[in-house]
Amino acid sequence: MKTLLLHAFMLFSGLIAAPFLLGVINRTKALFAGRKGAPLFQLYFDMAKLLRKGVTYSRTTTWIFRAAPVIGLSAVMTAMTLMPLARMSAPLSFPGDLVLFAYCLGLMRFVTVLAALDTGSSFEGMGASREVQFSALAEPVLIIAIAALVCAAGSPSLTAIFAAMTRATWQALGPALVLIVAALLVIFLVENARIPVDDPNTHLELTMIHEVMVLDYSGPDLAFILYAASLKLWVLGTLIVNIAISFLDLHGFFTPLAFTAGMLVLAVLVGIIESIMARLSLLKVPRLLMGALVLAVLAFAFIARFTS
Amino acid sequence: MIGVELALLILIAGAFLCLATLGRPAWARVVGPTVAVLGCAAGLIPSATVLIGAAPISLRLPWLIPLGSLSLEMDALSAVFAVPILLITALAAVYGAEYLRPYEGKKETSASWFFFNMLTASMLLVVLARNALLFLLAWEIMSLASFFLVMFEHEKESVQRAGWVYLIATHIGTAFILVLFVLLGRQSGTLDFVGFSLTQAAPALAATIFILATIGFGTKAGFIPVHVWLPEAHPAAPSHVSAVMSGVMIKTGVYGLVRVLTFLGTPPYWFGWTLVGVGAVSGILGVLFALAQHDLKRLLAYSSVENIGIIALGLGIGLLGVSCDSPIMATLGFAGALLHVINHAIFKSLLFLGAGSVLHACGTRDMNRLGGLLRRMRVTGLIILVGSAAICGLPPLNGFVSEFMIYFGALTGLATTPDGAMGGAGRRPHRRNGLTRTDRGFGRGLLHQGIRHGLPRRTAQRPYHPRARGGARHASAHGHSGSTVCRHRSLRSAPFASHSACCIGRGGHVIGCCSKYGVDRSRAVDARFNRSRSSGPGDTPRVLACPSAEGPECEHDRHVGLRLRRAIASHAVQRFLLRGSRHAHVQGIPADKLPSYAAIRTLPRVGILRKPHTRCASR
Repeated sequence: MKTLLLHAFMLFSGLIAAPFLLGVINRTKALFAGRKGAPLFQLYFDMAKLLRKGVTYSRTTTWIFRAAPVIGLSAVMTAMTLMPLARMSAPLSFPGDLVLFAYCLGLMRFVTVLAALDTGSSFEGMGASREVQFSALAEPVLIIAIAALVCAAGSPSLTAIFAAMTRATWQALGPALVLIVAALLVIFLVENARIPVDDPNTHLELTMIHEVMVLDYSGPDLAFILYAASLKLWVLGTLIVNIAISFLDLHGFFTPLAFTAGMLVLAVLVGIIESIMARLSLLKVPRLLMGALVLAVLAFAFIARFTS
Repeated sequence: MIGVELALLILIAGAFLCLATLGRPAWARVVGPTVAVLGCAAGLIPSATVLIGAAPISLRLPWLIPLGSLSLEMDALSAVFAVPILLITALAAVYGAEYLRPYEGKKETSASWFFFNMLTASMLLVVLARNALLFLLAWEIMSLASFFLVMFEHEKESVQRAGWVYLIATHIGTAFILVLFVLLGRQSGTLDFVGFSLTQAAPALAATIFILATIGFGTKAGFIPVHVWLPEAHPAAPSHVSAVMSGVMIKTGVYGLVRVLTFLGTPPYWFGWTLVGVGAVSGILGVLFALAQHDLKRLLAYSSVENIGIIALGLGIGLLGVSCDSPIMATLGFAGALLHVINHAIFKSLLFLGAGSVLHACGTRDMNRLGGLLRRMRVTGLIILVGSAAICGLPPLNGFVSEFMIYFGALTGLATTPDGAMGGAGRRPHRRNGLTRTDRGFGRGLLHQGIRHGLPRRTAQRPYHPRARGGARHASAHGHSGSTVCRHRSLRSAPFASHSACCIGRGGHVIGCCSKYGVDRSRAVDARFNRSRSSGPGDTPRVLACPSAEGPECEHDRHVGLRLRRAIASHAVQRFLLRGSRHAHVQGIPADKLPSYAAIRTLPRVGILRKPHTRCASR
């Protein structure tokens, strides 16, 4: 019963807190720009507003366009149930769950891309094409990084991986884990369409990716998409913060505390990155991803070398 | 066995009955599919009973040919391949009855049905044969029947070329298989499979046979680099034949490889690594080639190469599991590979039949000219969508299950128990002579285990292997906890690299192009585009991939979007994987076909948010 309550709490804390992270990122960016910035809870207000509005559908679209936001949201929620928070067990955990985790994010991308193509607009088709191209380079990084974690922790389950990682792991494999965190940070930025790759604030430029694909959505559908995007930010952030806080080797109440602090630090970090960097040109993004891939492979080779 | 013999008999007799209907296409349309469905139904019952756990059924008759007997057997491994063969072929025959109707009178459909039924019978015989000569005979009939089926529209030059490429490729493969069986026969003194065993033979012979099997059967299956015939033959054949060839016929190559592996005893590590390498290369390159296609059926053919790669990957992981004595890896690898055989048979034939419907309805396979079909072909569109999602391996469809098993097998190999890591339980060197074996061989025992665990049933009566010790039993009873470490772990994740991502691109490509534009509308745009393009001949093509500051220059023109998509895809391929030559302009598009900015500007300018073809319906 206690575990059940804990799991429910974990899930709901993620579901509730995820949009807040975006508020933190935007506030950080505003502070850097010398502005006061939007309220921290702006995304909640936006979603509440959108949920009350009507929907407009283009006649070109089919049911795919209407189904995509719901499927995408449910896919990312499924991924959330697999991801442990703060070194506790995940609500759903079994050996090999990390494959399902990666594929759930893949399913989300698949329906988003389909919906973009379904609109029949070249512009959204270009966004879809870029999304697929970059994700084809980003997903191997994610999976190799996770495989390296499997190798380091000795178990093919996310819960067991984070339970097994302690400061001793960091002392033995510290450099590799740093490489993994760096690679995952790049993936975090790419997957969530953050600034070195994509600019979440504009959708009227030809080089946009994610915002372009969801251009035709309105009303509750758009609210679902925004919410799904924030959940994706949350769940990938969880992955990074879980690795990072294992270094502290905390117990009891301090772990969730450190986790919360870690998520906030991550959000601020993303805000800082977005403030001090310009967006990369489209042709340079693959280089960034290949860099991340190299980091992940290096980490993997390092861990495979030193644990066997 | 009676059902299987009956099936063979019906199919062969029916094939000749089809010949009797030469010149009467209406008769052929009835007789051909009826015979195929009847024969398949007769064979399906015994195959399915064996598959769900009945004892293997066999038949052995004396024949005039020396060194062996006419022996057939339906065991679990044969049943895994026989069930898809019979099921898919029967469905494809029903489809073919209508598909061939427009050709009646122009083509000899009776002959086509003759070869179709012969192909079915020979594929069944290939998986049943337990004598090398019988196997080779069935193999050759299968190759020839499918060659004639591919050559259905033989007056087209592209079809002729495809047919010849196929004929040559498949016979080169057969040459390797012939040598393989000669070596096996010389070693064992018999040509019956039951006598083949290399467990006592020199490692060099086992290695030779493994290499011959990988090349020979790999040619049929479509491993890169011997995949050359697939992208030629599959688009050339009629769609129901493509479905059978791609869905089940290439799987006979996988069957042959697995069957030969059961003769070889405990494999050394490099067997597994070879298959993992071949599988990873086929998987990654197959999907990258698929991304660059614009012919729907050619794309599907490359996708077959990719899926065969995944199957080879699973087999490789299974072999590594056998080599390093990890029953979990072995079971997951083999079971995942065999399940993927069944899964791929289902969704690839589905997609080929769907592509046939699209071709039938639209008269073209060029995806650049297709679009908006989901609104007009609702059922076909929905089915292709489901098939595409399944072939991408997305949860909760069947493709995910088999890919999950394969990847989980690989991850299990990576995961180290602390004891395993330190004690080196899995780093025990390969011991060829230290293993006791039953007459069926270690590999075969595990294969059965793989089959039995890989399919949804609980009938594994026999222990997975006689030498399973307490530790191994413990391991299989307690999931991953007792898994051992394998050597060479560093490359184990190569399977992951880019498969999962690429397949998503692949599926999007298939469906996106189908659901994107109405055909009639795109033709209108075509005409307009060509007119405007010809008005600005003096412009040199320019890079379109980074139109950074052009803002509202985004015209509602399908060519730009589609070409850009292709350009970006091929750009990524060339830049990062193939390291091909770098063109001055966008890679992948010939200079004369690239629309220039000036050409685009002459099109009516529209805002991004106000689409000219879209009237919004408010709800």
